[in-house]
Amino acid sequence: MTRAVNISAINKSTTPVSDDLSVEAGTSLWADAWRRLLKNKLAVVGLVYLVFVASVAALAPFLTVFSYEEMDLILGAVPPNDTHWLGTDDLGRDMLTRIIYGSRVSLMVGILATSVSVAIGVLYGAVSGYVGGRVDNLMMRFLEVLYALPFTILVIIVMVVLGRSIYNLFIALGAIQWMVMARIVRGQVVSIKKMEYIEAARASGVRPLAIIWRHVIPNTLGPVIVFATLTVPAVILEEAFLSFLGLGVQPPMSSWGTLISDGVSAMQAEMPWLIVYPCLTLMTTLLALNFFGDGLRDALDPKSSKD
Amino acid sequence: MYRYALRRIFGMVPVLLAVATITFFIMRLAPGGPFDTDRQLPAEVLKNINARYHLDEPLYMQYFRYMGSLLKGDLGPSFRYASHSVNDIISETWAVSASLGVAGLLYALFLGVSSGVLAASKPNSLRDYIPMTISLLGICLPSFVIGPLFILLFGIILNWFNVSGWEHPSDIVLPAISLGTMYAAYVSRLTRGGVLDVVKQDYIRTAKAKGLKGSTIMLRHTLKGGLLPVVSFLGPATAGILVGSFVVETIFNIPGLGRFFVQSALNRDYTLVMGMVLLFATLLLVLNLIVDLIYALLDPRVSYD
Repeated sequence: MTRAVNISAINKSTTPVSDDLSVEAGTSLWADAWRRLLKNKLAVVGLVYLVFVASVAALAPFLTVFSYEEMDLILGAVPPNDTHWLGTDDLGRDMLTRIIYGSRVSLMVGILATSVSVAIGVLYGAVSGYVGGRVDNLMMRFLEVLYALPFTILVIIVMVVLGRSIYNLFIALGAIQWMVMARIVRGQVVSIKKMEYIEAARASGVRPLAIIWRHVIPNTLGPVIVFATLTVPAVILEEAFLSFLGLGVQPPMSSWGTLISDGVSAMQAEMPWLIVYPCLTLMTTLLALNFFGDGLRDALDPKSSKD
Repeated sequence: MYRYALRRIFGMVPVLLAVATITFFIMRLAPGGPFDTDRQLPAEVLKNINARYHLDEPLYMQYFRYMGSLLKGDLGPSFRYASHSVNDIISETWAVSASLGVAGLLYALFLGVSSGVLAASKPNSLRDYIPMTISLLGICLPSFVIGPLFILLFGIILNWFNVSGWEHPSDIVLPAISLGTMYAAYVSRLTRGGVLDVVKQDYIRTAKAKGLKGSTIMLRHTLKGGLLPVVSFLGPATAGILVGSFVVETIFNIPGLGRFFVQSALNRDYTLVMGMVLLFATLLLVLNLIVDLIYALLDPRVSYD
């Protein structure tokens, strides 16, 4: 009798646990993270704003009335009014139109160059940090050679030798950004690989690449995402820096970068709207990116409690 | 540790040689030369100039000639600034750029770390949101935007500072802030992130359980681990400040090294470009070594021996 009671007690105590387990298995890391992200108001606002900016950029030809390249020298620079909501530049081109078209270039450069840099940087840093020893030394030495080439000369040379085009621009920017990412990931991995769970995986015979992919990289995701959200604006800003030096997107195309550098040169001529609106667009987009990135970071951190 | 540092210092030599070689050949790959001008020079003159700078020799000869004098510490004559050697140009201007860069970096570190710690000490409160919002704005303020805005506000409207030149000690303030603000913002975010990661660790709980004061825990335990991402970021930050000096020195009309760089690459002033690349490369290599050593000092889990 006592034995039977005991067995039923054991059954009772195991059943709810296994139920819980099946529920746990149903919510993946990503579904869970998404749920937490939606609870973060700033992140949602950021996401909505980014979706808005991206769709305006995608639908630009259907939304704009004026041409971004046709000049109207008789009109010249006019302050914001009912026809030209954000005014016109000194060549009589509608600023709103140019900002919207500029957002296509800036967003594309930002996203593509960042993806390139994240993919290369994470893999390179993770392999280098995890394998360690001579391979690590060699990979880091190679990185140092690249690293020691100051970025501007690299880009200037790429732009001069290959020609100034938007594709060369994001190859050049992506090719530079991954090095920073690789170093940060490597720094993380050097600490992570000494954790017990890595040892456990190695002891149970998991192949090194599988360990890197399944155990090391997911645990570097926090810093990677934080740094990637810092990379998108950084890339957009670097594009602007190159435009400032005359090495970026070529006219009549515009990006937020060229618009700002045009605005800077127009500042003395008392045309503040030429600098204020591109700056505002850039800053609000970057703010949204950062809010979203921060929210994503909090949502993805496996160590934070499940509310 | 010392052996590691020594090994790294010796390891820099091949790296620098590789950098010199890559830069030499890539620069020569780019179309155009240092003596291309709008008006056509007479063939005789061009021939004389080319002979004087050994540009008429085969490329590999020029390469070995350059590397030979480089090993003796001679960076060669500038192609564009006649009668100036690259050594002269660098020794006349490096101090100005260095003081500007160091001032910008110190400003960025001080502001960034203190505001990051402030934010992380009470996450998701006003004390977190205010510095983080300011740092978000800071990330959107590269030197070429903040510089002209500073000139307009503090130079022209308020008339607090001299906006051009390098004579008075206060001339360093606006350029250094222009240069450092973006990096202060990055450092602040990295500090906050790093500290928040460390705060969850067991050893911080232990420190709390021991009854240590909050400020003691922060300074003695949390910051040590929390600053690791910032230390990693020092290398890129220095590189960025270096590059930023190209623009800032031009905007504020400062007689430093940075403003030569872009112009000399566009001018195909091969020797000046090479000299500056090698200088920057040495600087970054030494700094990366220092960063790695600091990393080992701060994180007992990392060892190099």
